[in-house]
Amino acid sequence: MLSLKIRLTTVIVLSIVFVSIASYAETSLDIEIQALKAFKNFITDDPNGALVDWVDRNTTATGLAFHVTRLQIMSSSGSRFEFKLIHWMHSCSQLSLCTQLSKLFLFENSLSGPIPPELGNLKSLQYFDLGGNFLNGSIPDSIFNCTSLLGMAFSFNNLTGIIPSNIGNLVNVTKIIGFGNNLIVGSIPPKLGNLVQLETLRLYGNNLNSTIPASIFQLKSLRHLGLSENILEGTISEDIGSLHFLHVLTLHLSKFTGRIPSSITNLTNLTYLSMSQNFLSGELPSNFTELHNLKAIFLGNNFFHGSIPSSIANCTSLVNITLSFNALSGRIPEGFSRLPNLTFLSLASNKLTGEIPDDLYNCSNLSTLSLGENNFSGLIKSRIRNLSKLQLLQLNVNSFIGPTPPEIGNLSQLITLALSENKFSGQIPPQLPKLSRLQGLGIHDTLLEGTIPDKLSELKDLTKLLLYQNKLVGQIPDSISKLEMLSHLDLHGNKLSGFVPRSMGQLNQLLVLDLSHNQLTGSIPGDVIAHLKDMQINLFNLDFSGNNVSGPIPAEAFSHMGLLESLNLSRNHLEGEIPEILAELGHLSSLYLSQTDLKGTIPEGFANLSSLVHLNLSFNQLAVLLLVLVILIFKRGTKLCNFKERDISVNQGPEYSSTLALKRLDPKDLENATGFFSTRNIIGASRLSTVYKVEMEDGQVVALKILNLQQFTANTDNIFKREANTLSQMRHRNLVKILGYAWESGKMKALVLEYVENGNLDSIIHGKGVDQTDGSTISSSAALEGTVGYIAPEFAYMGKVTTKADVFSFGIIVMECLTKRRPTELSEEDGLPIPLREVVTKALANGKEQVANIVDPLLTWNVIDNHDELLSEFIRLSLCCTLPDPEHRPYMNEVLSSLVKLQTTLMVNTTNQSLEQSFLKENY
Amino acid sequence: METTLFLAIFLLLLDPFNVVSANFEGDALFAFRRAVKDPNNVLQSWDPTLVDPCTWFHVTCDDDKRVTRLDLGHAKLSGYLVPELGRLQRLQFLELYKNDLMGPIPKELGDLKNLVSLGLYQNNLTGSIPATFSNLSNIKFLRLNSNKLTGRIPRELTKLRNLKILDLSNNDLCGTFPTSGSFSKFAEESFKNNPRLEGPELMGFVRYDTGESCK
Repeated sequence: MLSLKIRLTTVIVLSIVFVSIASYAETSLDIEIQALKAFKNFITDDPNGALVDWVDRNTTATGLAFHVTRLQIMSSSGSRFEFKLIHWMHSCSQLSLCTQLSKLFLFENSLSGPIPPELGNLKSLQYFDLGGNFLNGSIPDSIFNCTSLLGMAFSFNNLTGIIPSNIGNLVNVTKIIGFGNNLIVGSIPPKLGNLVQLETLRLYGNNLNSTIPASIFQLKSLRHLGLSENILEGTISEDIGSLHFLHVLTLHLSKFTGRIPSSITNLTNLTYLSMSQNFLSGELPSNFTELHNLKAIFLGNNFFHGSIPSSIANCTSLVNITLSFNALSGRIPEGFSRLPNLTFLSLASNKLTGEIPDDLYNCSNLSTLSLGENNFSGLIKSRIRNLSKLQLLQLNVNSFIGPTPPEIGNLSQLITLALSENKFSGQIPPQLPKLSRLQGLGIHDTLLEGTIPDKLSELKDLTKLLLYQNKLVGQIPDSISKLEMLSHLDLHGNKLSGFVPRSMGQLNQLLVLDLSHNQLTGSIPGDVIAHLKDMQINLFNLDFSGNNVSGPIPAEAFSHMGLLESLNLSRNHLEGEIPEILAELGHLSSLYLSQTDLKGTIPEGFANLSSLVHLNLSFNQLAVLLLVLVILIFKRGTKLCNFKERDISVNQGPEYSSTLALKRLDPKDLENATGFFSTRNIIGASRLSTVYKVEMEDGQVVALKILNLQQFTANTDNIFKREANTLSQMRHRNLVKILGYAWESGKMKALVLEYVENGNLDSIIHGKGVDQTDGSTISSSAALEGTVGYIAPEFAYMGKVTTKADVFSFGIIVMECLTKRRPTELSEEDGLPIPLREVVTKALANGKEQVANIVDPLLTWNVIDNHDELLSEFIRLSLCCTLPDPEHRPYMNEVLSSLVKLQTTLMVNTTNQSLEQSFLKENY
Repeated sequence: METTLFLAIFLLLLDPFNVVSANFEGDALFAFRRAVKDPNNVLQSWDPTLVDPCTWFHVTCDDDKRVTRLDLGHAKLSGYLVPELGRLQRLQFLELYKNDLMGPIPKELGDLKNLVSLGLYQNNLTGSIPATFSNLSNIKFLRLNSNKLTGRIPRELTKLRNLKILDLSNNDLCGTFPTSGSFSKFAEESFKNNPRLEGPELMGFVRYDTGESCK
């Protein structure tokens, strides 16, 4: 039964408003009864007897009848009213209860169905908020007839369709237009520019796919502009600097390109600026000094380069600075200690260098300091103890050296400490156990020596402990079993010895246990595993490989581990047979038992392991039933995949999982997949790499790019990892996606890329099989010469790599596209190579006619007269890109803006507008 | 005066949502964080402003940065489950056993099509087992034992063909328990200590569950 109650004071905040009208409560029962009856008809669910408020009743001119001018239905403590808005609207109009309604608040209920078009009949309506419901359908045009509206919001619903352009009728709206978090498509209607008094515009979280119309910048009263999380594109106009009242600007997670407009630094009222996760490039604005109200700046996940402007330290209100995942270089500027409220500083995954500046150690309010994946160097100073509020400290994947300072033990609030992949030496600091709140400790891939301190067990909340690939010795301390919350324990690749402590059976939250590649002895601790009672639902990765473990595989241990996905016991000295029970591990996708001295037969049940993708039982004394087994498996339609996948996000701890989602593949498997690098599978080759077309077992065709190790020696291992990492971050529809990598020190560096159909650019430009100089058979030497033409001279002859080398290659390809000539074509007269660049230079110097001669006729046919100037400009641009001195070549973003200009000119179809590209004139 | 105050509240309540929420699955998880008390701060790393929740402890993601596991067994959490958890489309493991969770099991958890294991045992959950669980087509381990669940066992659950372990013991369920479909392999052990549960459904005979008091 519904229990609708008239309550005037329910929420403390609201009660203040209601006091003034409390005296009417006794006198208008009629209306209320009618209203309540109406509600009973449409409210279908009121689980907890939530409350309804009828308030703000004013007398009409006659003073006799009451009319509802404000309706608010509030959900209380988790319960929501459920009804169809359209039904309610019907009741409302029938009773004429709503004619004078000026405020309608129904947010955060469970309203469903479409927005009733009749809402447009409520001519007195000033505000409504239907946010946080389940409304669907499109926004009815009619609601924009409510010209008395001052504010409207439908945020957090399931609305579809477009924003009707007659939204431009709402010229009186002052407060808010809120359509955020729906499923709205199409463009931002330029007519929005009519709403000149509008203060808040929230269109975020939809599927809008236009540019920002210029008219938006007419909304000079805007204080809050939220356009984030759409698929908006184009550049951000300099006109944004004219929105002087702007406090909040969110443009993150869209497809904006170009630079940050420099005018943004005029927005002195700005408190919140987010542009992260776009395709923005160029340098950051240099002068942040005026933005003294700025509290949060999010510019991460773009393509910004250059240095971090030191003026950012003048924005003294800053609380949060996020510049991670860009290509910023140089040092961290001094001055951050002038920001008294700075709590969040993330500069991770850039190309920053140098030491941590001294004054950063004075930012005592920092709770997050993320400097991972840069190239910082030097020591961590003892003054780190000043940063006593730090909860997250990420210094991983840098070149820090020296011991980890004992003062880290003073950072008592730390939850995550990531120091991995540095050159830290010495022991695990004995002060670490003082970090009583620590949940994640990653110090893998460093030079740590000594033992695992017994006292580490005092870290009661520790969830991930990753100390792999160090030089740790001694035993796994028995006390490790006290880490009740431990879910990831990875100690592989050390020199740990002795037995696996029996007490580890108490670690019943373990998901991953990797003790491989140590010098552990004794038997596989079956009782340890068996004791992990809850592991039957938890543990999915168990690795004891590469130790000196002996004895039989403890069958009883595996009887309840139905969800185990990966089991690796290879390279040990096991005895006896493979227990039948392993065949019952239905989720097992990897089983490695090679080089284990096991005897007997392979359990027949293995044929039923339908999830199994990797199986290696080699180098044992097993009876030859293998063939039968393989046949059985194939009969079942299950494929034995050649790829060993190593899920980095599982194995490499907190600091890695967010950044490196690449699959690591086993080089040996690649060997097989390519038919031992058969030339038949080669689809491209150069001096630097060879590309194979490979079909994976799941049918996916990929391109495998194997780098030439002579060009990429072992000391570039770190660079390779970082590049793979960077590539994995790139996302653009025009870029080939990187799927995985393989790496074995000194033996292989390879990238697995998406295979793109439609052949290569060469055959598109030159046609297939027409030209014999670089035909279908690729000998490595021909390929070698062939690529020289694309490679910048400073890289070809001096091995000097800069981004300008890419600009060179770009320029050459543009020339090749335009002229349909190869960059290494031989001259008809004397058979000597004529660099394409010289041909083009000569033609350009000899005027229009000559240019027309060298350009691909197919192109010139399509070019009308007044465009050949543009064509010349285009060629000129490509020449600039290929200037011998890399310093003289433009940056790629400058090239882009020139191209955009050319495109605009083309579209505007101006006849005499010449391009004013200063770098073109100067350098050419 | 009233208008000003009113506007203040208007602005306070209107769109009161976080401006940085590119993190859809993180938001769903964060809704859960808000609904529970966490005396041991095991959820402290759950920062909703991050791009995804994959660096949060107790959360595991796949290569596409989608959440596949939530492991918070025995974490001293008290509070409620939230319907938002049903949005974690690729979730395979939802392990919240041995906590102090109360209130109903949201029917939206039935949206978790990829769920392999649901461990809600040893909590204080009330209400009935959502019939929507019949949509959990991949579930193998369903453990709801040792709660205060009431009502009938939805017959629809018998169509969960992959179910291997079912534990509904130590609750306050009523009616009969199904014996057809995937339930045919479960012994009474799976249903023990439900005082009002009347025993197996008798197919083809007079059914026990005609009683009207089963709620």
